[in-house]
Amino acid sequence: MKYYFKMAWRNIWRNKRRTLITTASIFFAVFFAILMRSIQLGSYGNMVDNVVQAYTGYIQIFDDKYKGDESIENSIKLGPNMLSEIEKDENVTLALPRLESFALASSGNQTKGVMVVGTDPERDDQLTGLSSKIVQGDFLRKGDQGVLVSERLASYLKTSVGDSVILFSQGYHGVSAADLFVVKGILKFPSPDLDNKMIIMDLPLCQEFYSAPNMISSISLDLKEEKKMNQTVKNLQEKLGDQYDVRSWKKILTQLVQQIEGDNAGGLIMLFLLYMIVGFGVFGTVQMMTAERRKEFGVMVAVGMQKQRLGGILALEMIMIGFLGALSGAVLSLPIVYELYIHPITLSGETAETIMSFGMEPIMPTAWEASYFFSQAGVVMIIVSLAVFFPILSVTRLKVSKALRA
Amino acid sequence: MNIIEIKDLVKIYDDKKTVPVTAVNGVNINFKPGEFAAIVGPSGSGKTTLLNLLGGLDEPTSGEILIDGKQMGNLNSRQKIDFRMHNIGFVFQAYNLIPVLTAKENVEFIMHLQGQSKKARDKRSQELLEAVGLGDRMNARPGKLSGGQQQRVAVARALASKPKFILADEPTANLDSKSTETLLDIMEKLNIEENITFIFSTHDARVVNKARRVITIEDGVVVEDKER
Repeated sequence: MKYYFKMAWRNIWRNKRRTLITTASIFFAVFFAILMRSIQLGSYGNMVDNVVQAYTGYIQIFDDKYKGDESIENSIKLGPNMLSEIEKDENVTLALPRLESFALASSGNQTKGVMVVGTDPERDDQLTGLSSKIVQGDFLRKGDQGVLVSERLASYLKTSVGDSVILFSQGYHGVSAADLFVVKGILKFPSPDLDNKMIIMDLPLCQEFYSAPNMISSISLDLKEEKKMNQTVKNLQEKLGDQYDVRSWKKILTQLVQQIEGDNAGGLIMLFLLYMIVGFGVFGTVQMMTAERRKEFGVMVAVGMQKQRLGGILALEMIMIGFLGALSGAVLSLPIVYELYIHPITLSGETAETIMSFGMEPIMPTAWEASYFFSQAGVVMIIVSLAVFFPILSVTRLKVSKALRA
Repeated sequence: MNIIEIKDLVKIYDDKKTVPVTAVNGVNINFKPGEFAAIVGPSGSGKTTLLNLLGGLDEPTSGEILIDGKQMGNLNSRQKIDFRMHNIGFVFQAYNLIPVLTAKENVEFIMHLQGQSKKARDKRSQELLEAVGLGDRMNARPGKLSGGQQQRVAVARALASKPKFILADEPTANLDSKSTETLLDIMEKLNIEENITFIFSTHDARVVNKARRVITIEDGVVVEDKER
């Protein structure tokens, strides 16, 4: 075998320029594929992290009727051990109960429909970093009687820290809900939608306001490993039973998933085109290598080399070229991908503002996953194998007497 | 006992696109071990075709070729390749050495295919290259050797597997007089020392003069078969 490796290695350097050009084309394909794809996947990861960590969490648990009718009537009764039972799952790091409903908020002469969220401030801060969004006043503490108001809403209502807002709504089982709350802090949400409508308060205060003691709309979960999310959903669904609806963020944020899938498909088409070009390049090289050595192949078969073994040497030559290109592409893209992973590209100007308006950080990080490097290099090796198939087939069908006349 | 028996051999090239050409037309020849024979004839007379048929590189249209009593026609493609490796040596007009291998590696190539040990390969290749006067050029690649030297390496390569006979298709066609003379002397010496049959196809009078048997072929038919 060593002998054939030596032959193949020497053969590929017979025409140095051609080998270097072919290797370079594979190198650039792998290099750009890894860079392009890692930026794309990194951006998706960033989008997901932003959205999931902004509010939803990786998994949410609802009452099974909540999906069709998101009203306070379809809320869950939070048992004393429910959160600790959920947190017993090895992949769950945090369970955050929330009660959400709508209300009419009024301050002075201003009135607006708002979303009221009752939450556990400490847990919410752990999941979403809520305290970091405070731009005025203080963050909530357990037992607080004040509320946090989002910045745009506060501006509309013309309220600031220390002012009061009146909330009117319909509570649990149709009970009317009305109360006056002091504004403890102003929050700024990157998403304009959320920033226009949020009022956040301590969970027991919210339950009291809506006359819904121990009731919650949902439980948001943070996970140790996102990869195990589907299994965790399955485990929790089995554990909690059919009266609950356990959903991953992918089932909740369907628009985001569709947006990512659409963009991902575009990226894959680009990769496909890139690899097609490289594939034909490699195919052309193998064709040339085969055609110009036809007589030599004829001699080798004439003196006793089996055609299959000859095809094997030819395959080995292309695998060596493919391996050189793929390896150098992967290795040289590594430091760049890592650098962009540690220090993502920060966008500025209008692009940044647009991204921020969707509640996302205006950065372009790369994905840093070892498997990705191997898969790209693997794809190139598959392309090389495909490109080599027909020339090898022609070698195995070689007519020796014809080849000797070539 | 004949080493090669050719019976009623016919080869017609018919690619359905042009007029069929009968390159070999009912040839009957036998060769004994240790012969030094030349097949002569004008261009297109069928010399190379006959050699290709003898080497199993081409299929006859009809007739039989028996080598050591074994019918070539009964072998499949893989068996034929194996048969050639163990029984037939080839020397081509254009040398056809493998350009990425050194002279020694070219000689060892067939021994590699036969699975011979490194020790055996080293010994045999060294012996053969010294026999053809290239003991000091063993590590040179074909590109660094003259035409005559390359052809001598080709002869050494043909002998490496200790074949029953060697087929040489116009081996001196690209060589100058001096190289031709040297090569012929070497081949004659190896023919006598190793008792290997050499069959040449040639136009070259110098080769014909050295041959101990001359077979003349015209239009695919043997017109004269003369032993000296």
